[in-house]
Amino acid sequence: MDRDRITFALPKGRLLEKAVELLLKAEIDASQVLEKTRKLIFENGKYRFILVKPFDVSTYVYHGAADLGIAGKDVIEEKGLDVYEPIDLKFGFCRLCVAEPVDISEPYDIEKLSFIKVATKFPKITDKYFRSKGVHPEIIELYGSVEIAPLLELTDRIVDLVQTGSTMKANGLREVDTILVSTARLIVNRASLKTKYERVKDLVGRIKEIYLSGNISK
Amino acid sequence: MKETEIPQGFKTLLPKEALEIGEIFRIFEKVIRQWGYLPVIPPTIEYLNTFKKIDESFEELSFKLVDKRTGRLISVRPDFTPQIARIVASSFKSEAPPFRFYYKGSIFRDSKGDREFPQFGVELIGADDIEADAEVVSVIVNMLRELGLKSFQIDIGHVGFIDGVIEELNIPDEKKEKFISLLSSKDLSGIELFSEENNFPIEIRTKIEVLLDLYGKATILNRAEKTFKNRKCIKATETLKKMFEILKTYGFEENIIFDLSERRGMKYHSGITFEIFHPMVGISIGSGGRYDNLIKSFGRNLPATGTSIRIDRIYELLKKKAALNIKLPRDIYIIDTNKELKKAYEVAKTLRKKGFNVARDIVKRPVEKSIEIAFNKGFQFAIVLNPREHGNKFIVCSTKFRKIEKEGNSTEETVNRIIEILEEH
Repeated sequence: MDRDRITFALPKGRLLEKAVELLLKAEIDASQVLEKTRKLIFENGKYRFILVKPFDVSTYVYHGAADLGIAGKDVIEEKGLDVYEPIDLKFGFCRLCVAEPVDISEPYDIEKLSFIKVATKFPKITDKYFRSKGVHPEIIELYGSVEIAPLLELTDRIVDLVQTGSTMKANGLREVDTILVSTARLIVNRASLKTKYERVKDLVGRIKEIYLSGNISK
Repeated sequence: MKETEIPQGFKTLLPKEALEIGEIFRIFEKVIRQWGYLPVIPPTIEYLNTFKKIDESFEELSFKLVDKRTGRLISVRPDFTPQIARIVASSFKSEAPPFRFYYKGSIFRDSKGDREFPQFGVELIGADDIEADAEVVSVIVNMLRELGLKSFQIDIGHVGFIDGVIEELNIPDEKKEKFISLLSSKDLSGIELFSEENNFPIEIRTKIEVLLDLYGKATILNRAEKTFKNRKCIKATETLKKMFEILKTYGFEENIIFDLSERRGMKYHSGITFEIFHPMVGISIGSGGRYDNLIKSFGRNLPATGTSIRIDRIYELLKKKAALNIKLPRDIYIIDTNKELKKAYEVAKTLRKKGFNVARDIVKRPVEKSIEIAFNKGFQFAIVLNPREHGNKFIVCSTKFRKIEKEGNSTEETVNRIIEILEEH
């Protein structure tokens, strides 16, 4: 991490295009990360962009391997690392939901549960949520295809991200509770904000300006 | 379990690392003694209560054991400062302040990641003037500069300012913690949501917006004064301004920034708090602040201020900068083929007196093998005494040369010849 260069950690996947679009509005051209290549590190003048898994963005930023990053509130919250989170970028809207098979014998009622068995990619948020409600969660941590867990009777229910709800429907599930509403956030390494103060604060200010002027598509 | 397995979060420092970490401690100690600070070595273990009475969260953080002799819970120190407070209150009951102490060692916290952290800490006790806080900051600047570091920033805030803000904004008691945590991640949208949930009127929302932006160079202190005019806030900004003036006269203004929008530090902090950052390390390398009510809880009412620096992070930083490169003490390796004559002992003793690091082979094996091992271990020179095929001679060699020489009439003479050869190469 040197003083002149600013490194952005960008998430591979569904948020990437919007993230690049946003940076362009702030006069930062990161469009090369959209090219189909195997490269993971891109340079453009005083900026460097690294492409990482969404779950890893806040890890890179926390440790200072990147000065700034863009990631969903869901994965930031799950990691729970001490980073600044100054701007809600408003895109990448999704919800972290509890879902269960439509034909479950005892439908979800959090007031009546003392115990819940769920499969999820978000064990920390899930654990915290249920314990705060006085429900003991037994959590099966999965890395993907969480929707099939109830079909195979691995668990009764799942906690997973929902955008349109069609994946849930296709697998015979229905949403019964919302744990977290998530959108993309700009996150900033604490040391970067303090030691590259002028450049980083200016950048954060520019991006904030875009939102205040309403010049962004959701 | 394998015999060599170690518990999570603990690590070993091998010789080179141990020497380099030792060097950081040595440099810090040299500086701090020039400022008139004296060392204390608190015990590794204390009653849990000593920590818990200061901050409940130490109970969760500590490694706890049951003291077999009393049945009470004892804790491996999770923080030095409460210990220093106890020591001052119990062993310096009547001595007039100020007290200047420093300590070095590890703290232990039962959390994820590392569980043992090497620290160097400084406490200035019994002075409530802002000049004392400025002294602590000056000490830090001097210590870091002595290590060759320049571009670090000391980020200063004030607990009293946030307290004043919370009162002025009428944040309900049960929501304070949430508010403080939103502030410490500068979570603008979280704060907006929080304002909505609490039906804050527009004036309060505007003030919060100003608050979130109160970080940067000293000019933010003026901005703070214009918006937050309650007694606590004004007192805090005045204190910080005074401190900045002092630090400016010391020539440190480049290294100082302010952040009034966060409440950092431990629960026991009561006035200014600060964190130390460097652009090459993502996480703060040290922190500190004023704690005027801590020592009182051990029985002597004394204001205090101090800092602790994370030596592991300083080490990481210096390694990245390649600023530390300590050579292992590996000058000479002596191999003696006839141990009965005690020659090796005498030669080694004389060489050590002249300032060389000398180790002996001792292990029985062929001479050539011993020489090879000496160089593999990083020794610069190997000396063979009583070599079989050369009576009354000795061999001096490095990886680049080998010289056979006659022994002198005394050990002194032999050693002088050895040194002559070493100096030639």
